[in-house]
Amino acid sequence: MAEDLVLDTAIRDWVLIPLTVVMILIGILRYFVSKLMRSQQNPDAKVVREGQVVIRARNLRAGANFIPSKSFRARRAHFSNEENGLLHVPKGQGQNPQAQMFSDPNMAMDMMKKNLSMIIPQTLTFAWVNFFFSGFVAAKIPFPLTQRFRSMLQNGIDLSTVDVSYVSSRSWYFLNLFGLRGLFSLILGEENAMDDTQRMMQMSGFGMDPTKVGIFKSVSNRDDSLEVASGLLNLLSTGPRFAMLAVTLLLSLGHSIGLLFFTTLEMSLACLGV
Amino acid sequence: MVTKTEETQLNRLESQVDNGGGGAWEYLCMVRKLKVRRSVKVLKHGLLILNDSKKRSSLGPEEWTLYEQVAVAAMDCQSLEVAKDCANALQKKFPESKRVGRLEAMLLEAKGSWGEAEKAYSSLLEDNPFDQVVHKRRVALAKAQGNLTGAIDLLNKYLETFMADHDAWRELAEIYISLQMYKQAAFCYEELILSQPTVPLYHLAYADVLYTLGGIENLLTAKKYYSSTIDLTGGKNTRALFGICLCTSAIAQLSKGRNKEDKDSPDLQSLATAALEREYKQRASDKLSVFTSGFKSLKVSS
Amino acid sequence: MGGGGGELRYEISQNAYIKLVLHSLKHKTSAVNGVFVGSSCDDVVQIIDSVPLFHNHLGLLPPLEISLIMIEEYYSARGLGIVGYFHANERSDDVELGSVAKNIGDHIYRYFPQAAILLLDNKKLEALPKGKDRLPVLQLYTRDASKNWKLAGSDGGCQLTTKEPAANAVLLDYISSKKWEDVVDFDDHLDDITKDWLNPGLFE
Repeated sequence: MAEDLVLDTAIRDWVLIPLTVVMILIGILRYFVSKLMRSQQNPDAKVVREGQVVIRARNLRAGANFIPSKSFRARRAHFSNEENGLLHVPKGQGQNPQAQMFSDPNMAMDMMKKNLSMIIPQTLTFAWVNFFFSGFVAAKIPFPLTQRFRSMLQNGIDLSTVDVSYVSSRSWYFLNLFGLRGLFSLILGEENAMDDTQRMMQMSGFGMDPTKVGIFKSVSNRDDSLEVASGLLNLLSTGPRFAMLAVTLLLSLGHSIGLLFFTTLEMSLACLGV
Repeated sequence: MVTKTEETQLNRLESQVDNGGGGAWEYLCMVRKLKVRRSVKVLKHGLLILNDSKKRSSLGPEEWTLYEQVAVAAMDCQSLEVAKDCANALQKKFPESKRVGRLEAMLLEAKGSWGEAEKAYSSLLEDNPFDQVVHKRRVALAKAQGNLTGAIDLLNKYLETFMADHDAWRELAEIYISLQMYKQAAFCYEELILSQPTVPLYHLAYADVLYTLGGIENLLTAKKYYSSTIDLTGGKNTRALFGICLCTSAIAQLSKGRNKEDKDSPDLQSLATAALEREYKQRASDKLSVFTSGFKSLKVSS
Repeated sequence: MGGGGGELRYEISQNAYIKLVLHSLKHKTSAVNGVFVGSSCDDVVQIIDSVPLFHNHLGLLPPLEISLIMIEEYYSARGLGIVGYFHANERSDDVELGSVAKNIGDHIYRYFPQAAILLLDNKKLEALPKGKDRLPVLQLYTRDASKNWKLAGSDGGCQLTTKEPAANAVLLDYISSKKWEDVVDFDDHLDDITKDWLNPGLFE
């Protein structure tokens, strides 16, 4: 193993710190821009109502044992009778979200806005970093890591002999991109710091906003399950929604766990077309 | 729902603030968080902060929340001048805000100009038909005019969309009870039990409503719900224990001469009476004789 | 029976009167009720004492039954019975006697035919500090021959008087000293049985 590389202090002053500062500033700027662009959206009456129906139906299913059986049967009929039950979705009419999105240009527009506020600054900063700082070894982390982390920490340097604990400037950029959420939530307040990885999620699954899919899926599922539930039968919702949830969950964990971080990094690279 | 610990904490904080021990802002925050109605105190302590420009500016943006809180409290205490000043201050700061518009409509309501308030709320609803607070204000407005059936209609319309809002269900249940429409009230309590199955309060209220409805079937169900209340509270609920006694004797009276299908009920009743007797002996011994003689007679009649 | 013309009079003792008015002041934002305890001789109903009952869910039967059983039990040993029902409406501008109050009144009437319902008159209560009204701030309802509760006193005679003439002055004094905070009703008792619905310490 070669002896330790000594990093010039100028690198710290002119690469590491500026990069971090710029990332923070961009994050804040983006917050304000997206705040400006966020259109005051009035939720659709149908969507609001459906959400509430689902909650109520879920309560009914979970609490079926707590009310007299007569009351339960009355409610079940109210929710899921064949003619006009609240949860009854006629066959073939269950809208799929993709189709719904195309039928509603506003939704696509919103999505565009959301994504634009993310893609543009990200492409620009990425280009900036690539142009000015490509090939820099910008920092060194104080503990050794295995070879697996090489592509995560030394993105942009194609040297296999450099110790893995050195971080390239491009990787430092990515670390910042994904790791600054905690800082933003400090600066901008808890709810305001939108997770970058969540944005990624939304973009990659373009239009597959898990909550929205959830409602439609669950309306039809709830209908069936209530039918079966006549007591306490717990029907799980179908696969895709769960897979979606699982991915989101894993992604939100990704900040702290390096290995998962690796996957998100790969994913984001794919998204940016790098 | 305010838990016991929260309430004692709040009361402690209140007495501390009342005695000049500081912590007024924390108290106000807590009142806001728990959504309790302590308007007189809120008005008093909130105004003290608002009138002290140093204290006020130290709150930062929270200042405006306080203005709103004090305004609402002032309306509740009929200090309309104060409420008006607060609303004006907010109006100056946020001229376009819907939330301030709501406050002004409430001010109209507090003045008693029902028509204008109604108009203001309707126009707010036109802008945003999903403003739950405005919907609820309209119910309150109908109630304030003594128009209980109107309030019921509005609530039902509201619940058609926001059917998972258990506070609305509770309000509806209470209105139904005051109009003695117990069947409808029972439905509302069923809904509340469904949404929060472990809150003993709803089980108790449901049982009470069923008992009031009468009829052997309802009484039997009522007894079950009194039992579940006792179960959920760990045997601490005096009302439910009394309820068991009442139910058993009422059931016995109704099913007199008919087959005695309920084998466990005398047991349950004697257990409940024993529990009550113990309670009274330990904690209110001066009422013990009243209780025993009163409920012995109930037992004899059964 | 109950509608013995205008000659039936109700005389209410100061303590019974003040206790229930203070109770309604304690729960300003909700309807409250209570019962009067006393005895009748000839055509005068003497209201000796009162018990504040509830401030929540007045329309429910179980708590009412519990309270009535215990109150009966306590006072019958002292030779008194329940002679009247007190009600204060939720809204201050509401002067009507509600159906709940009428039903409870009917219930009491069954056991005591001269029973009366007393409704808190908020207007009079508000006017108390200004005027020198000697009469209690209550409206008297009695049951007439057609079994309807009818506002008495509208046809002249004041059938309802306080025993002590200075009752209203005392009441004002208590109001200004915020005495209402100490009133305990049956609701409080059921929540915590150490609280005594007889309010023994209230007038000390």
